[in-house]
Amino acid sequence: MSSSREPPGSDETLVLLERPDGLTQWTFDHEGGSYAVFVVGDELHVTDGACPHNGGPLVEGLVRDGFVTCPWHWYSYELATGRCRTAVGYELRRYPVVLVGGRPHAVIPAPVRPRSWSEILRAHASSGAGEDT
Amino acid sequence: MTWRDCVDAGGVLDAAAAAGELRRARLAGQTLGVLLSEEVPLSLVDAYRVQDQVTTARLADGERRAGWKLGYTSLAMRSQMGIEAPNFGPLTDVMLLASPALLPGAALQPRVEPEIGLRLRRRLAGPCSAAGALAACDTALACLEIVDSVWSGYRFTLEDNTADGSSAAWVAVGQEMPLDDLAELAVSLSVDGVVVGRATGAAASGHPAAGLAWLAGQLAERGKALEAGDLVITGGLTSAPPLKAGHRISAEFGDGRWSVEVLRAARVSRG
Repeated sequence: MSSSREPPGSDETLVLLERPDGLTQWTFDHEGGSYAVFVVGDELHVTDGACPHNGGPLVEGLVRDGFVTCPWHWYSYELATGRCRTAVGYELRRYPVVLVGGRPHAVIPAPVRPRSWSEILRAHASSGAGEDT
Repeated sequence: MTWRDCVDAGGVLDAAAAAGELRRARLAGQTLGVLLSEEVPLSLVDAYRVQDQVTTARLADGERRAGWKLGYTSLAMRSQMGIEAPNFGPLTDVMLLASPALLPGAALQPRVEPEIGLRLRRRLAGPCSAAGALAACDTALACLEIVDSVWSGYRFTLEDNTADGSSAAWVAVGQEMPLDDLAELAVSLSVDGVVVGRATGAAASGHPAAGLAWLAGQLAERGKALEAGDLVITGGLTSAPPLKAGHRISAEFGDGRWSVEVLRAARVSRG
Protein backbone atom coordinates (compact mmCIF):
# COMPACT_ATOMS: atom_id res chain seq x y z
CA MET A 1 0.00 0.00 0.00
CA SER A 2 1.03 3.59 -0.28
CA SER A 3 2.01 5.78 2.64
CA SER A 4 2.15 9.53 2.91
CA ARG A 5 4.43 11.53 5.14
CA GLU A 6 3.71 14.26 7.58
CA PRO A 7 6.41 16.82 8.37
CA PRO A 8 9.06 14.91 10.30
CA GLY A 9 10.49 15.67 13.69
CA SER A 10 14.23 15.92 14.09
CA ASP A 11 14.82 12.19 14.15
CA GLU A 12 11.53 10.50 13.34
CA THR A 13 8.84 10.49 10.71
CA LEU A 14 5.09 10.09 10.90
CA VAL A 15 3.72 7.68 8.30
CA LEU A 16 -0.02 7.74 7.66
CA LEU A 17 -1.56 4.30 8.07
CA GLU A 18 -4.11 3.87 5.32
CA ARG A 19 -5.99 0.63 5.78
CA PRO A 20 -6.63 -1.18 2.50
CA ASP A 21 -10.24 -2.19 2.10
CA GLY A 22 -11.05 -5.45 3.83
CA LEU A 23 -7.58 -6.12 5.22
CA THR A 24 -6.59 -6.55 8.86
CA GLN A 25 -2.88 -6.90 8.18
CA TRP A 26 -0.78 -5.24 5.51
CA THR A 27 2.69 -3.85 4.87
CA PHE A 28 4.22 -0.57 3.89
CA ASP A 29 7.69 0.49 2.88
CA HIS A 30 9.35 3.65 4.09
CA GLU A 31 12.89 4.99 3.59
CA GLY A 32 14.20 1.57 2.70
CA GLY A 33 12.47 -0.20 5.60
CA SER A 34 9.56 -2.64 5.41
CA TYR A 35 6.88 -2.60 8.10
CA ALA A 36 3.83 -4.69 8.97
CA VAL A 37 0.52 -3.38 10.34
CA PHE A 38 -1.90 -5.58 12.27
CA VAL A 39 -5.43 -4.71 13.34
CA VAL A 40 -6.32 -6.38 16.63
CA GLY A 41 -9.71 -5.35 17.90
CA ASP A 42 -9.69 -1.57 18.01
CA GLU A 43 -5.92 -1.35 18.03
CA LEU A 44 -3.31 -0.96 15.34
CA HIS A 45 0.11 -2.55 15.84
CA VAL A 46 3.05 -1.62 13.65
CA THR A 47 6.11 -3.87 13.62
CA ASP A 48 9.09 -4.66 11.46
CA GLY A 49 7.91 -6.51 8.40
CA ALA A 50 10.51 -9.25 8.67
CA CYS A 51 10.60 -11.91 11.36
CA PRO A 52 13.60 -11.37 13.68
CA HIS A 53 14.38 -15.07 13.47
CA ASN A 54 15.06 -15.50 9.79
CA GLY A 55 13.37 -12.69 7.88
CA GLY A 56 10.05 -14.35 7.16
CA PRO A 57 7.07 -12.20 6.04
CA LEU A 58 5.14 -11.57 9.24
CA VAL A 59 2.28 -9.98 7.34
CA GLU A 60 1.44 -13.44 6.04
CA GLY A 61 1.45 -14.87 9.55
CA LEU A 62 -1.54 -16.05 11.52
CA VAL A 63 -2.72 -13.61 14.20
CA ARG A 64 -4.46 -15.17 17.15
CA ASP A 65 -4.91 -14.06 20.77
CA GLY A 66 -2.71 -11.05 20.21
CA PHE A 67 0.20 -13.08 18.81
CA VAL A 68 1.48 -13.23 15.24
CA THR A 69 3.16 -16.42 14.08
CA CYS A 70 5.66 -16.28 11.24
CA PRO A 71 4.68 -18.54 8.32
CA TRP A 72 8.25 -19.70 7.70
CA HIS A 73 9.38 -21.24 10.99
CA TRP A 74 6.40 -20.53 13.30
CA TYR A 75 8.20 -18.12 15.63
CA SER A 76 5.47 -16.33 17.50
CA TYR A 77 5.49 -12.77 18.86
CA GLU A 78 3.15 -10.86 21.13
CA LEU A 79 2.04 -7.80 19.15
CA ALA A 80 1.50 -5.63 22.22
CA THR A 81 5.06 -6.11 23.50
CA GLY A 82 7.19 -7.67 20.76
CA ARG A 83 8.04 -10.55 23.10
CA CYS A 84 8.89 -13.85 21.40
CA ARG A 85 7.24 -16.83 23.03
CA THR A 86 9.02 -19.39 20.87
CA ALA A 87 12.64 -18.87 21.80
CA VAL A 88 14.76 -16.56 23.86
CA GLY A 89 16.93 -14.01 22.15
CA TYR A 90 14.37 -12.71 19.69
CA GLU A 91 12.20 -9.66 19.98
CA LEU A 92 9.95 -8.08 17.38
CA ARG A 93 10.54 -4.38 17.01
CA ARG A 94 7.38 -2.32 17.41
CA TYR A 95 6.59 1.27 16.46
CA PRO A 96 4.23 3.66 18.23
CA VAL A 97 0.96 4.61 16.59
CA VAL A 98 -0.37 8.11 17.15
CA LEU A 99 -3.44 9.98 15.97
CA VAL A 100 -2.81 13.14 14.00
CA GLY A 101 -5.87 14.95 12.74
CA GLY A 102 -7.90 11.98 13.79
CA ARG A 103 -5.96 9.62 11.53
CA PRO A 104 -3.50 6.94 12.68
CA HIS A 105 0.19 7.35 11.94
CA ALA A 106 3.17 5.16 12.68
CA VAL A 107 6.15 6.87 14.32
CA ILE A 108 9.17 5.66 12.38
CA PRO A 109 12.71 6.66 13.40
CA ALA A 110 14.71 8.40 10.72
CA PRO A 111 17.09 5.99 9.01
CA VAL A 112 20.65 6.06 10.22
CA ARG A 113 22.52 7.69 7.37
CA PRO A 114 26.15 6.68 7.00
CA ARG A 115 28.39 9.60 7.90
CA SER A 116 30.39 11.10 5.08
CA TRP A 117 34.15 11.19 5.44
CA SER A 118 34.08 14.95 5.87
CA GLU A 119 31.70 14.46 8.82
CA ILE A 120 33.94 11.81 10.34
CA LEU A 121 36.99 14.02 9.97
CA ARG A 122 35.16 17.05 11.36
CA ALA A 123 33.98 15.02 14.33
CA HIS A 124 37.58 14.12 15.03
CA ALA A 125 38.47 17.80 14.96
CA SER A 126 35.60 18.67 17.28
CA SER A 127 36.89 16.13 19.78
CA GLY A 128 39.65 18.62 20.44
CA ALA A 129 42.43 16.24 19.46
CA GLY A 130 44.37 19.03 17.80
CA GLU A 131 43.70 22.13 19.79
CA ASP A 132 47.34 23.04 20.07
CA THR A 133 48.75 25.04 17.21
CA MET B 1 49.48 49.81 7.01
CA THR B 2 52.57 48.37 5.36
CA TRP B 3 54.40 45.21 6.24
CA ARG B 4 57.14 47.38 7.71
CA ASP B 5 54.72 48.16 10.52
CA CYS B 6 55.01 44.51 11.51
CA VAL B 7 58.66 44.83 12.51
CA ASP B 8 59.65 46.06 15.93
CA ALA B 9 62.39 48.57 16.70
CA GLY B 10 64.91 45.75 16.90
CA GLY B 11 64.05 44.57 13.42
CA VAL B 12 62.22 41.47 14.65
CA LEU B 13 59.08 40.44 12.82
CA ASP B 14 55.90 40.70 14.88
CA ALA B 15 54.32 37.48 13.70
CA ALA B 16 51.00 38.21 15.37
CA ALA B 17 50.72 41.57 13.63
CA ALA B 18 51.54 40.06 10.25
CA ALA B 19 49.07 37.25 10.87
CA GLY B 20 46.43 39.78 11.82
CA GLU B 21 46.84 41.57 8.49
CA LEU B 22 46.65 38.29 6.55
CA ARG B 23 43.51 37.33 8.41
CA ARG B 24 41.97 40.77 8.01
CA ALA B 25 42.51 40.68 4.25
CA ARG B 26 41.00 37.22 3.88
CA LEU B 27 37.97 38.03 5.98
CA ALA B 28 37.47 41.23 4.01
CA GLY B 29 37.60 39.28 0.74
CA GLN B 30 40.76 41.03 -0.42
CA THR B 31 43.92 39.73 -1.99
CA LEU B 32 47.25 41.35 -1.22
CA GLY B 33 49.52 42.66 -3.95
CA VAL B 34 52.58 43.43 -1.85
CA LEU B 35 54.32 40.43 -0.39
CA LEU B 36 55.41 40.27 3.21
CA SER B 37 58.84 39.17 2.00
CA GLU B 38 59.12 42.27 -0.18
CA GLU B 39 59.07 44.60 2.79
CA VAL B 40 60.57 42.67 5.69
CA PRO B 41 63.23 39.97 5.95
CA LEU B 42 61.23 36.75 6.07
CA SER B 43 62.87 33.43 6.85
CA LEU B 44 61.01 30.14 6.65
CA VAL B 45 61.07 30.02 10.45
CA ASP B 46 59.43 33.45 10.52
CA ALA B 47 56.87 32.27 7.98
CA TYR B 48 55.81 29.34 10.13
CA ARG B 49 55.57 31.68 13.13
CA VAL B 50 53.14 33.82 11.16
CA GLN B 51 51.23 30.71 10.06
CA ASP B 52 50.96 29.59 13.69
CA GLN B 53 49.55 32.96 14.65
CA VAL B 54 46.94 32.79 11.88
CA THR B 55 45.98 29.33 13.10
CA THR B 56 45.75 30.55 16.67
CA ALA B 57 43.32 33.25 15.55
CA ARG B 58 41.22 30.74 13.63
CA LEU B 59 41.06 28.39 16.60
CA ALA B 60 40.14 31.30 18.85
CA ASP B 61 37.20 31.89 16.52
CA GLY B 62 35.97 28.37 17.19
CA GLU B 63 37.59 26.35 14.43
CA ARG B 64 39.18 23.01 15.28
CA ARG B 65 42.32 21.60 13.76
CA ALA B 66 41.47 18.59 11.60
CA GLY B 67 44.80 17.79 10.01
CA TRP B 68 47.42 19.16 7.66
CA LYS B 69 48.06 19.89 4.04
CA LEU B 70 51.31 19.45 2.23
CA GLY B 71 52.47 21.81 -0.48
CA TYR B 72 55.11 21.38 -3.14
CA THR B 73 55.45 17.64 -2.78
CA SER B 74 55.76 17.57 -6.56
CA LEU B 75 59.38 17.74 -7.73
CA ALA B 76 58.26 19.65 -10.82
CA MET B 77 56.61 22.31 -8.67
CA ARG B 78 59.62 22.57 -6.38
CA SER B 79 61.93 22.98 -9.36
CA GLN B 80 59.66 25.66 -10.75
CA MET B 81 59.73 27.53 -7.44
CA GLY B 82 63.44 26.89 -6.87
CA ILE B 83 62.87 25.27 -3.49
CA GLU B 84 64.26 22.14 -1.95
CA ALA B 85 61.52 20.86 0.32
CA PRO B 86 57.73 20.85 0.61
CA ASN B 87 55.87 23.06 3.05
CA PHE B 88 52.78 22.45 5.12
CA GLY B 89 49.77 24.21 6.55
CA PRO B 90 46.98 23.39 8.96
CA LEU B 91 43.51 22.12 8.07
CA THR B 92 40.58 23.00 10.29
CA ASP B 93 37.11 21.52 10.47
CA VAL B 94 35.48 24.34 8.54
CA MET B 95 37.74 23.65 5.58
CA LEU B 96 36.38 20.15 5.08
CA LEU B 97 33.58 19.83 2.52
CA ALA B 98 31.65 16.71 1.59
CA SER B 99 31.81 15.80 -2.09
CA PRO B 100 29.99 16.86 -4.24
CA ALA B 101 30.93 20.12 -2.60
CA LEU B 102 29.62 23.59 -3.21
CA LEU B 103 32.43 26.09 -2.80
CA PRO B 104 31.73 28.67 -0.08
CA GLY B 105 31.17 32.16 -1.37
CA ALA B 106 34.17 33.59 0.46
CA ALA B 107 36.63 32.21 -2.09
CA LEU B 108 39.07 34.81 -3.43
CA GLN B 109 40.88 33.19 -6.37
CA PRO B 110 40.31 29.47 -5.94
CA ARG B 111 42.28 26.83 -7.76
CA VAL B 112 41.74 23.11 -7.46
CA GLU B 113 44.13 20.18 -7.48
CA PRO B 114 43.59 16.46 -6.95
CA GLU B 115 45.27 14.96 -3.92
CA ILE B 116 45.40 11.71 -2.04
CA GLY B 117 44.27 12.18 1.54
CA LEU B 118 45.60 9.90 4.25
CA ARG B 119 43.89 9.47 7.60
CA LEU B 120 45.93 8.56 10.66
CA ARG B 121 44.69 5.63 12.70
CA ARG B 122 47.28 6.25 15.38
CA ARG B 123 49.46 9.04 16.67
CA LEU B 124 52.64 9.66 14.72
CA ALA B 125 55.20 11.62 16.69
CA GLY B 126 58.66 11.95 15.25
CA PRO B 127 60.57 11.07 12.13
CA CYS B 128 59.70 7.83 10.39
CA SER B 129 59.99 6.12 7.03
CA ALA B 130 57.35 6.38 4.34
CA ALA B 131 56.44 2.77 5.04
CA GLY B 132 56.14 3.53 8.73
CA ALA B 133 53.95 6.54 8.01
CA LEU B 134 51.71 4.50 5.74
CA ALA B 135 51.38 1.84 8.40
CA ALA B 136 50.00 4.50 10.74
CA CYS B 137 47.10 5.23 8.36
CA ASP B 138 43.77 3.50 8.14
CA THR B 139 42.41 4.85 4.89
CA ALA B 140 43.13 6.85 1.77
CA LEU B 141 40.60 9.38 0.51
CA ALA B 142 39.97 10.88 -2.90
CA CYS B 143 40.32 14.60 -2.31
CA LEU B 144 40.31 17.89 -4.14
CA GLU B 145 42.21 20.67 -2.46
CA ILE B 146 40.81 24.11 -3.15
CA VAL B 147 43.74 26.43 -2.66
CA ASP B 148 42.96 30.12 -2.32
CA SER B 149 46.04 32.24 -1.85
CA VAL B 150 45.69 35.61 -0.21
CA TRP B 151 48.53 36.80 -2.45
CA SER B 152 47.24 38.39 -5.66
CA GLY B 153 47.66 36.24 -8.73
CA TYR B 154 49.48 33.49 -6.83
CA ARG B 155 52.66 35.53 -7.02
CA PHE B 156 54.63 34.63 -3.90
CA THR B 157 57.78 33.14 -2.45
CA LEU B 158 57.83 29.90 -0.50
CA GLU B 159 57.97 31.94 2.70
CA ASP B 160 54.97 34.10 1.82
CA ASN B 161 53.03 31.00 0.81
CA THR B 162 53.95 29.30 4.07
CA ALA B 163 52.84 32.29 6.13
CA ASP B 164 49.50 32.03 4.32
CA GLY B 165 49.06 28.42 5.43
CA SER B 166 50.35 27.08 2.12
CA SER B 167 47.23 28.59 0.50
CA ALA B 168 45.01 26.08 2.33
CA ALA B 169 41.36 27.02 2.05
CA TRP B 170 39.06 24.00 1.61
CA VAL B 171 39.20 20.29 0.90
CA ALA B 172 36.44 18.39 -0.86
CA VAL B 173 36.54 14.92 0.66
CA GLY B 174 35.38 12.14 -1.63
CA GLN B 175 35.40 8.40 -1.56
CA GLU B 176 37.48 6.05 0.52
CA MET B 177 40.24 4.21 -1.36
CA PRO B 178 42.52 1.30 -0.44
CA LEU B 179 45.96 2.11 0.88
CA ASP B 180 47.62 -0.33 -1.52
CA ASP B 181 49.59 0.79 -4.56
CA LEU B 182 49.02 4.50 -4.02
CA ALA B 183 52.09 5.39 -6.08
CA GLU B 184 50.57 3.67 -9.10
CA LEU B 185 47.09 5.07 -8.51
CA ALA B 186 45.97 6.93 -11.63
CA VAL B 187 44.21 10.26 -11.29
CA SER B 188 42.58 12.50 -13.86
CA LEU B 189 41.36 16.03 -13.26
CA SER B 190 38.45 17.43 -15.25
CA VAL B 191 36.89 20.84 -15.64
CA ASP B 192 33.22 20.54 -16.57
CA GLY B 193 33.86 16.96 -17.62
CA VAL B 194 36.84 17.72 -19.86
CA VAL B 195 40.08 16.12 -18.70
CA VAL B 196 42.76 18.75 -18.12
CA GLY B 197 45.40 16.75 -16.27
CA ARG B 198 46.55 13.21 -15.59
CA ALA B 199 49.05 11.83 -13.12
CA THR B 200 49.65 9.04 -10.65
CA GLY B 201 50.19 9.06 -6.92
CA ALA B 202 53.92 8.98 -7.56
CA ALA B 203 53.74 12.67 -8.50
CA ALA B 204 53.79 13.41 -4.76
CA SER B 205 57.50 12.81 -4.09
CA GLY B 206 57.32 9.22 -5.33
CA HIS B 207 54.59 8.13 -2.92
CA PRO B 208 51.97 10.06 -0.92
CA ALA B 209 53.33 8.57 2.30
CA ALA B 210 56.74 10.14 1.65
CA GLY B 211 55.33 13.57 2.36
CA LEU B 212 53.49 12.25 5.39
CA ALA B 213 56.74 10.93 6.84
CA TRP B 214 58.43 14.25 6.14
CA LEU B 215 55.58 16.08 7.85
CA ALA B 216 55.87 13.86 10.93
CA GLY B 217 59.51 14.87 11.23
CA GLN B 218 58.77 18.56 10.66
CA LEU B 219 56.07 18.61 13.31
CA ALA B 220 58.28 16.77 15.77
CA GLU B 221 60.91 19.50 15.38
CA ARG B 222 58.22 21.96 16.46
CA GLY B 223 57.02 19.87 19.39
CA LYS B 224 53.89 18.74 17.57
CA ALA B 225 52.59 15.42 16.31
CA LEU B 226 50.12 13.90 13.92
CA GLU B 227 47.14 12.69 15.91
CA ALA B 228 44.90 9.68 15.35
CA GLY B 229 42.02 10.79 13.15
CA ASP B 230 43.97 13.58 11.45
CA LEU B 231 43.60 14.01 7.71
CA VAL B 232 46.74 14.82 5.74
CA ILE B 233 46.35 15.77 2.11
CA THR B 234 49.62 14.84 0.53
CA GLY B 235 50.11 17.40 -2.22
CA GLY B 236 48.76 18.27 -5.63
CA LEU B 237 49.23 15.63 -8.31
CA THR B 238 48.50 17.81 -11.34
CA SER B 239 48.52 21.52 -12.06
CA ALA B 240 45.72 23.46 -10.38
CA PRO B 241 43.24 25.11 -12.74
CA PRO B 242 41.11 28.00 -11.50
CA LEU B 243 37.58 27.19 -10.38
CA LYS B 244 35.44 29.81 -12.05
CA ALA B 245 31.90 30.69 -11.07
CA GLY B 246 29.37 28.35 -12.60
CA HIS B 247 31.88 25.59 -13.23
CA ARG B 248 32.68 22.17 -11.80
CA ILE B 249 36.00 20.45 -11.21
CA SER B 250 36.16 16.75 -10.57
CA ALA B 251 38.81 14.09 -10.15
CA GLU B 252 38.66 10.41 -10.81
CA PHE B 253 41.07 8.04 -9.13
CA GLY B 254 41.83 4.46 -10.16
CA ASP B 255 40.41 4.83 -13.65
CA GLY B 256 37.06 6.02 -12.40
CA ARG B 257 36.60 3.76 -9.41
CA TRP B 258 36.69 6.67 -6.96
CA SER B 259 35.73 10.28 -7.51
CA VAL B 260 35.37 13.67 -5.90
CA GLU B 261 34.03 16.96 -7.16
CA VAL B 262 33.49 20.57 -6.28
CA LEU B 263 31.21 23.15 -7.84
CA ARG B 264 31.23 26.93 -7.68
CA ALA B 265 27.87 28.59 -7.99
CA ALA B 266 27.39 31.10 -10.77
CA ARG B 267 26.90 34.65 -9.67
CA VAL B 268 23.24 35.49 -9.52
CA SER B 269 22.15 38.87 -10.79
CA ARG B 270 20.15 40.85 -8.30
CA GLY B 271 18.27 42.54 -11.16
